[in-house]
Amino acid sequence: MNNKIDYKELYNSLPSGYFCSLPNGTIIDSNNKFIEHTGYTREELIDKKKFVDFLSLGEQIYFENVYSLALKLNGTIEEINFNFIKKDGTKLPVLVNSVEVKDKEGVHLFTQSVVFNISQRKKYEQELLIAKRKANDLSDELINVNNELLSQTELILKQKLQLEEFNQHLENKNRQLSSFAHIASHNLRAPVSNLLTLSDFYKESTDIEDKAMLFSKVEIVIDHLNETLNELIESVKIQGNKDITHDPITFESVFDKTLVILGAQILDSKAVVTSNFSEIPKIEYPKLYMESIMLNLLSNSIRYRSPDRIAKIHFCTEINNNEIILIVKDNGLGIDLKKHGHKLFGLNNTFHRHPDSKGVGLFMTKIQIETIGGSITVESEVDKGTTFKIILKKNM
Amino acid sequence: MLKKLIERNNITIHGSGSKSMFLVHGYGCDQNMWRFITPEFKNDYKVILIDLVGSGKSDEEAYDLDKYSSLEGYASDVIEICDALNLKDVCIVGHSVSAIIGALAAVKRPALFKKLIMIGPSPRYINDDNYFGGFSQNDIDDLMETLDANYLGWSSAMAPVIMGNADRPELAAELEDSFCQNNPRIARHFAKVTFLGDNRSDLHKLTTDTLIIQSKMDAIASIKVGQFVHENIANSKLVVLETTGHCPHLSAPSQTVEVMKQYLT
Amino acid sequence: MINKRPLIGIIDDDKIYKFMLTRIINDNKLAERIITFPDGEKAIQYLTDNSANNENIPDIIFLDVNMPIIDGWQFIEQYAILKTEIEKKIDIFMLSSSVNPIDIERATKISEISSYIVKPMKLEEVKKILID
Repeated sequence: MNNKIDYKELYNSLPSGYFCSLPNGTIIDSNNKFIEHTGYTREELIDKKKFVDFLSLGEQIYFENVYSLALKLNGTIEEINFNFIKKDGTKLPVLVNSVEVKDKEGVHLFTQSVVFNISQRKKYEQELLIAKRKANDLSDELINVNNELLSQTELILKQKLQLEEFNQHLENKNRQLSSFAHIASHNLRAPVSNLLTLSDFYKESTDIEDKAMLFSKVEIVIDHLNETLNELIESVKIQGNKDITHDPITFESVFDKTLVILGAQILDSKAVVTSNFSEIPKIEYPKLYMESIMLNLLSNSIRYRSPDRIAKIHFCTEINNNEIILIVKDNGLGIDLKKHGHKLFGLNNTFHRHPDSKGVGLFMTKIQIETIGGSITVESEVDKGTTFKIILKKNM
Repeated sequence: MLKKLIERNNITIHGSGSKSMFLVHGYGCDQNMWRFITPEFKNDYKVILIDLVGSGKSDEEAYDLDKYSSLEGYASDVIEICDALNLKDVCIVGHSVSAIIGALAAVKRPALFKKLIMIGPSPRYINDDNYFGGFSQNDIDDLMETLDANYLGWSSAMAPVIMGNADRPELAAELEDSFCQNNPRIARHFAKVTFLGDNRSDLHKLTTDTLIIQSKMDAIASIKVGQFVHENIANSKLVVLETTGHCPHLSAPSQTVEVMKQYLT
Repeated sequence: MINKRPLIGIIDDDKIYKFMLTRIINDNKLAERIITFPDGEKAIQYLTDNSANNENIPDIIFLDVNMPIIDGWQFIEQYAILKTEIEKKIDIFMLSSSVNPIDIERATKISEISSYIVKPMKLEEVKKILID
């Protein structure tokens, strides 16, 4: 094909709008497509209209302040979206590219602009924007719902924890009750059954001296029964008094008091009693219980010391897993835990043929410790010694 | 302190004269719009150019929505810069909305400013009873939509460069060449502040010697508005240029410079 | 016909109870001799020491469950081992003041225990056991 290309033809049949304007904005030439866009005739448009005439007032501000400025400074501008208002008032969304044409001296001669109809794109853009907005709203909603769910879950977890705590509490109470029932049936029945038999004897006996002797035996049993009852009632009271006030105490000062109370026994036994509360020197704990615990354990260790060696008893505190622990270690007779372990903290249980061993102390001690929420365990080796480990409470 | 201000407002100083001339660009662009004016004055004046916070190469991080919700925010920046540079008897030139910013600064510190030149000023763009601003609320809404529809500088490819991303030199070069790329969020806010504002009551407070340069055919700040401004500033002179468009200092720089020089001597 | 009266062993830490049981047995002349032990350990010690001496080994033992040092169950365990050294058969009666079905069941499973009895024992019951 050797046809001379007819540029004018090409120019007029361009599928995009093209126009040329003076620096003051007047349109001096345009192709057919652009004329079509305007809705005017060629005569009505050329040399008569300016591009701004096709813009709304709002867009004119943009034209003057952004488009014109950028064009002036850059010499060219692209991709500006305007809403072109046709003769009949309908709006045509377009994209405009413009370039300033200057002469050799740099004087601005005229501006060339291309105008692309982007109606379809604009519609799609609107749809996209709406969809985007919706998506954002949905996303916000989702975030809200999520947050709500999270807080609900937190609530449920909290409630679960509370229920577990309560359950634990109930289990404890249950354990205490059955232990109490066991102790009561056990420790009360023996003396009562003895009283019954003694009274039978008493009724049958005809001898005054005999009767007197029998009665003195009755007195012994009644004493024993009374003591047992007191212990039991005391233990119930302690267990019921869960809300006893915790006092701020230092282990050292309670310990010193204990040393004073048992002063005579310590001296007598020549026991060496030491302490180290440096790891955790203070605690919030019912003062009375702490005094009772220290007293019982110290007197226990002194009582069950080995005759073969100097009694060495050591009290200390430590913190482990955020729990405050009291440790009492002695080098005394020790207990055969395999044989007697299960009886260790029972009421009226004894392990040694000791004249003094009533064994009441540990029973009450355990109740006190457990009521506050702690626990007591023991390690022991016969003829080596015993170590009591009391988990008192969690460190606040 | 001065260093921070220089960074914040992209302050550039041209020429060295005993007299100072402070040029403040209007809405939609940055100090580049003075590129034909500056050379004409730098021999006699120390010409100070700034980018308003949020525009051009100013520090975007400093764009405090509260502070710049009124033109007073910008006015205080201008005064701050003058003080930091130890300027005296400043001649301040403001285009469009910055003409009002200049006026506000001069009202606050009359001793600091000797002369005020307003190019295409408007104290209020929206029509009111007995006041012709030129636009309705709808028109301004329209403008907002147009701002939203034009994505100059929106692409994240540009944003890092605007933030000062050093490892994209090719983009930086591109940005160097294309002026007036402003952060769209800020552009929108600034547009609202500019076009929805009303500073008519501030005009009569101005005592500074003022020149108003008005383009004959200006769709944004028409002659009516120019006249209103002239009538409300006691010490003012109004000159109408035979130009079209809102930026005579760009479209007809020689005419603009001539009028300015005449006024300043 | 008068049977040879048995040798009785009472293993219980409850002094009062021991006193009363002894009294019932002696008042009714139901035993030849009564030996008492305060706990299981002493009793095992005695049996071990006298394993060759049949005359010193009790025919019947009243064994309390709850005692210090070595309780009733532990006594039985040790007795079961010791039993082979002792010629005489001992009838062991387990005593307790509490009616614990677990204990009762446990007792019935142990061959060395002839019976589990709840304290206090009535005279008739004692007679029944001792007169065989």
